[in-house]
Amino acid sequence: MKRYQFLFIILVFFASCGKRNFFPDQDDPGLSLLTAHGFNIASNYINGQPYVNPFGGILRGNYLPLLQKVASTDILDTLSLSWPIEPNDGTSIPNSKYYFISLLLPVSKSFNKQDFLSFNGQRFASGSARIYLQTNNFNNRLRGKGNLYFVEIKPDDLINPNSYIISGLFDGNIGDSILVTKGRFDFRIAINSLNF
Amino acid sequence: MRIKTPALFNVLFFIFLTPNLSAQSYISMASGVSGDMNNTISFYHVPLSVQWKPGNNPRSPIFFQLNYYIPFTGRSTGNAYTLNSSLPEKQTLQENIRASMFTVSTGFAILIYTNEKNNSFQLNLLMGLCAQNFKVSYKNYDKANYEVLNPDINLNAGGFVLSGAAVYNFNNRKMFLMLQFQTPPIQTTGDYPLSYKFIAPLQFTYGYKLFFKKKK
Repeated sequence: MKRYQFLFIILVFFASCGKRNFFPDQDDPGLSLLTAHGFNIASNYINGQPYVNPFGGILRGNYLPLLQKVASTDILDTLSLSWPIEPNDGTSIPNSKYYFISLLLPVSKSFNKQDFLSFNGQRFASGSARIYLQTNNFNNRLRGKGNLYFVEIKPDDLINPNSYIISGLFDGNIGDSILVTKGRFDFRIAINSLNF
Repeated sequence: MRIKTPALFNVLFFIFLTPNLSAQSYISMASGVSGDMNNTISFYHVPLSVQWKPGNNPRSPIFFQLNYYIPFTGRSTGNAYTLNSSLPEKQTLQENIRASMFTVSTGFAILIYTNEKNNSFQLNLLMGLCAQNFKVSYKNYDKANYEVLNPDINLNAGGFVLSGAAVYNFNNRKMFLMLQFQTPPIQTTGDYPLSYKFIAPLQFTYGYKLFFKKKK
């Protein structure tokens, strides 16, 4: 009986291990496919160099994003979706130029979860989103214009009903010198981690 | 479940000591149509089947079989999305999947019935290895501007399979009709979720046997 208990514990351990879930896109080298399974994977090019959110090992899995409403003194607040990034072309991480990427959308002060779910399938008008890149100088956040398309936002009824699966496309530019292209993300976000 | 030794012995005795219709060595060739019992996408093939029964021992029901399945293209759809505001935000694309298969197996035949005109009915039971290759493409896919959501990807895998066939032999013993079912390979398709699964072919074929002359 103890042997079966041990096997069960081993199985549970492996089932709960974090996976990389990076499925290469043959058409866009270095990027993962656009998926909506809650794989917690995001990738994009910055000036042609592929970036991806880091893998924290089998116990941690992929680094997760932070989705928050940021209060401001203006008429509108800001919805911010951000995650850490690292080069995905064999370049060493300490030499990375960028460490964080943020996508920002203006939202009303009363913005709530239902409003967020209504973003499902919405492509925001060009220039209505903003994109930030964090360099190794933490006082220097690069700000530019972005495009954002929430291809799917849905409650995760299959695996964890207390989370949302959000999947989408993004790109942007910071001036004329930094181009973010072919961005795609597929995250599972715990509902209780949201501050709206 | 435990099988009692005498019962198992009786089964083996029945299988290996039942006289086979084709005591003579032969090679048979058959072809026909094949459908799939394991997918919602319709995968159809033209199976080419070669069977070889070695030896002239009338008590030996063992034979070998090679099956190659020429694919018809299976069709599905996929949705693609773009950020480019000058283009429609969503396109539904036709997805084409070409699924070719190859199976090598061995098995035995059990004679079920023979009539006075020498027509006969037999059951074939086989086990073997099956390789399945899926090639996926999207028609009119603008890769520069659009991204397919949850796209299917190519797969090349295989594994152990079991199959069974009902065979009707005509009285000249040379021609036969065969209805054969094969399980999908006992293998996972990997971590990436696909819209298709391994194929479990159900094939209906018409064939011809070439008997070898007995050695004197």
